[in-house]
Amino acid sequence: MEERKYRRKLIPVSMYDIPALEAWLVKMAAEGLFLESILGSLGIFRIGTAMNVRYCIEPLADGKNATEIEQESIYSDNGWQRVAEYRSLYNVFMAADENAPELHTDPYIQQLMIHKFKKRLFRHTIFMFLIQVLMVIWYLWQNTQHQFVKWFILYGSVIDVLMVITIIMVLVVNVVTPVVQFGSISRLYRKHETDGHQNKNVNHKKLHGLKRTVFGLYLGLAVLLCLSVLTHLAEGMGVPYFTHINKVQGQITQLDNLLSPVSNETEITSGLYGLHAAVFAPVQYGVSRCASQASVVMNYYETVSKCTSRALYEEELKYYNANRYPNSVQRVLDTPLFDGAVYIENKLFKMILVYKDTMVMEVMCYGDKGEIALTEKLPQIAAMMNG
Amino acid sequence: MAKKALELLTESMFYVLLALDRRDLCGTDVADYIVGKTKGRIRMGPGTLYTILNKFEDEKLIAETSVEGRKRTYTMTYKGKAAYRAEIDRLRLCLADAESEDV
Repeated sequence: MEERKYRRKLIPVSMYDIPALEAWLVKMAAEGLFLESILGSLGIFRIGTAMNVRYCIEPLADGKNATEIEQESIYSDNGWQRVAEYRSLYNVFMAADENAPELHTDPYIQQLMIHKFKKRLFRHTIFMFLIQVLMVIWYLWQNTQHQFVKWFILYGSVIDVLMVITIIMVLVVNVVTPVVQFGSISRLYRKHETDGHQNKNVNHKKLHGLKRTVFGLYLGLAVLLCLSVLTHLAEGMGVPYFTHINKVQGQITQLDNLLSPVSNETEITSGLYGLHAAVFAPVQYGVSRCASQASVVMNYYETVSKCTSRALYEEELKYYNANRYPNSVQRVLDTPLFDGAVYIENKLFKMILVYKDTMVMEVMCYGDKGEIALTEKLPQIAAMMNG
Repeated sequence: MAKKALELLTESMFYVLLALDRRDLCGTDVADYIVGKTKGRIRMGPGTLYTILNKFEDEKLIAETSVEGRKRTYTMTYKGKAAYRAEIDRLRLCLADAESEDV
């Protein structure tokens, strides 16, 4: 059996903490693992004979130019070989020869180099931030009539709030961490609190805590995404639960379409999307649809914010039983999926549907045209509900 | 910080300007010149040397004159010469102050 030549290892320190990463790579080399390339937070190591080597990480300039090519060549002459590059951000050099001269002999100059790189990252951060702000503005303009914030403050459900906060935190941490960490390392070099190219004075406790936090956030997002994928798979395989959900949604959609022609003449409030958004969308669409889901939930709350439970349905039944509307046409929609009630009194038409203790639809119409239209459609509605 | 970075030159920066004051040199020649001039007291790492050269080029204290293969030759600009003279004057004042105290 062929012996394994490479090993993948999750890099446990921040990718932006140069001294910590250098120290960890030295430790790996002492265990016989030599860095070959970096893939995200994963290091690809060549398995070899354990030996003492040195590593040096150097930020890259804004683009590879002739100076860097010359520089690499001189580094090589001095015993330093380039072994890896990380996301066009920095190069990792390794010296196997213990007598190879130090690449950096002036901490102040090193600090200048890192400071320049920090500025580059800062520009990148500002650019990304502006792009995101523009995307949010565009989204609000297109989809939510600028009421997303209003909804979020007043009616955001716990899962929506958590998901949005998680996404924001991951974005912020990802763009801010490099700038902050390069800043702190730059200050360390400026104060000359370094020991050659291996800085042993960095307090990594906070940085490692931050990395764990980010890892936790990623894990949370990964779980939500997995849940989303699994749900789609389950739908595709015809799992009864999801088939049932689709049936419910299908009926509500049909009802909404059936009632929509009178909406121009009368006032109709509908909680059609409330069920979908509040109960199913987080599972079905996961994180990628979080924003659209939020806007749909907003619409739901705006329209039926006062009617959200079986209690209302039961209250409506009491009205019927007490014969409070003597001239009304009354009907209780007893269907396999919904509990529902309909009454029409003079110019008022009202219908509510309850699904598993959640108010999913309420229609209220005022006016002659609406009443006539809906009265005519009532048999259709009843047939559909019972069918 | 960056604007003030070159108001005071570190020893490494000073010797790079010293090397380029009277002749055009490539990176390796600059390093060799400094080792010879300081009799081995200062051995500048290649990382430090190229960071300084890049920084000086950005600040227009030096300029590239020719490229032969991987060898790039630099010359000092008027701005570089002014910075170099100003640093010498500053060091002279420091030395004079120290000597006036009969150290």
